[in-house]
Amino acid sequence: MEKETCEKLIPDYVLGKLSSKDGKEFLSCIAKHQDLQERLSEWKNFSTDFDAMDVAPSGQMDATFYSFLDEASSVAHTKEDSPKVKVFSIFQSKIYAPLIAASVMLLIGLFIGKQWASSTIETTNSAITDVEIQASKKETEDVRTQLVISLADQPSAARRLEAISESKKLNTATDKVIEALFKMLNHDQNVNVRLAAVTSLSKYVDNPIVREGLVMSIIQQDSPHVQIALADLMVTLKEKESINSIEQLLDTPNMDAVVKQKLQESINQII
Amino acid sequence: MLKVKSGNVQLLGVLYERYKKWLFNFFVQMNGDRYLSEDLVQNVFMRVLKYKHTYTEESKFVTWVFQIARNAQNDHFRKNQKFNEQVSVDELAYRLDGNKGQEEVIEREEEHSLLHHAIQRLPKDKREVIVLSKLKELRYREVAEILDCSEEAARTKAHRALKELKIIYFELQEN
Repeated sequence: MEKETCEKLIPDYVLGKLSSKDGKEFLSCIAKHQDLQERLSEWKNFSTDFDAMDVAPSGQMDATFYSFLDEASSVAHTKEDSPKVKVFSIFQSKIYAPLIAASVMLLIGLFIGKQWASSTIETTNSAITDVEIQASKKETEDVRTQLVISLADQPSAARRLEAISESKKLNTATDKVIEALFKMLNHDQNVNVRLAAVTSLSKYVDNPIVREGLVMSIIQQDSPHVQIALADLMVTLKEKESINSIEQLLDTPNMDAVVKQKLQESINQII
Repeated sequence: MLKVKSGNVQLLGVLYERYKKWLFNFFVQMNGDRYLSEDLVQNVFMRVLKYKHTYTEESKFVTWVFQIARNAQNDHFRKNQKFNEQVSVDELAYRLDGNKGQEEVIEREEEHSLLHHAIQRLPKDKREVIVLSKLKELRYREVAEILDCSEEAARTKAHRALKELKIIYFELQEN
């Protein structure tokens, strides 16, 4: 690369607009010319500041967006029905009513005649529609699953609570969602997140892995609120396997007397 | 985007997660107001949904969405012209912070970096080309498409704006 070309590329380099190949050629050219090195060094702090100046939006922006999206989705579903409304408004028209009535009579006749012949086609069409609806539902579930997993890893507790709230809207939870919920239940620093994770996981207690995970989680909890929430859930489930874990928890030194009593009661209720 | 266009509205969430930070920073650097910028990001996605039928496979989503962002920004300032000279909400919040802890104030000062101030001093068209060009994900071709000019013109504008920005930046540094 010639010195003149290299000089002209300095702004492109600062703005990060050179391809990796051009970038390498540019840097090897710069290395050969002392005066260009000095000119590039003038931009040094500048480029670093460029990268550092990006800021993150608040959690409120996400909350507003997702409530807008929920609303837009429900409106979209309503609009799918709107052609029916239009058809009915034509039926009410005074001009078209007699014409439509005659046509309907004719169509009924035709329909009865063709009914037997078309029954097979109708079944096929209905099956196709069902497949489309199922595919759309699956896609929504996949997107929501992705969303739960990505929100669960966010540094903000509000975002992790959003993850749990989204997980409650899922009809079925994948292993990754269950894993993310347990990660929050057992390792999250925020008590509210851990409590919300208990509620969300309680939806999947039919899954033996979830049940077992909840039992195992009892002894990992240090917050009295979470301990009691899990004990209450075990009482509801009549989960005898949990007695051992609760008893281990009762052996913890310096346990609050009220919590101790509550856990003891839970054991008695499970038995 | 094509799936959103065909009616799968929920997938807009995926696009939002991918582009929200770029758009938010575009607005913050254009108007210097975080609260307004969050509103404008919402506005962009409302418009994406409203005008989804105009999106075609030929255009890249990123250029299309930034064209919408540019319009949203211009529309806002056209409608609120009388407020343009007033102090931004961010600036007011900054002033109110006078009673808060020193750490918080330092943090805010860092956020309002020298370069951010320098960008704010550029004329609007130069600010716009710099803010878009500094996005590594956009090539000059896409910047040109957003600004509705040729690729060479976009490159020349970016170089000129950068030169001016450098002068302002070093002036601020000296003061």
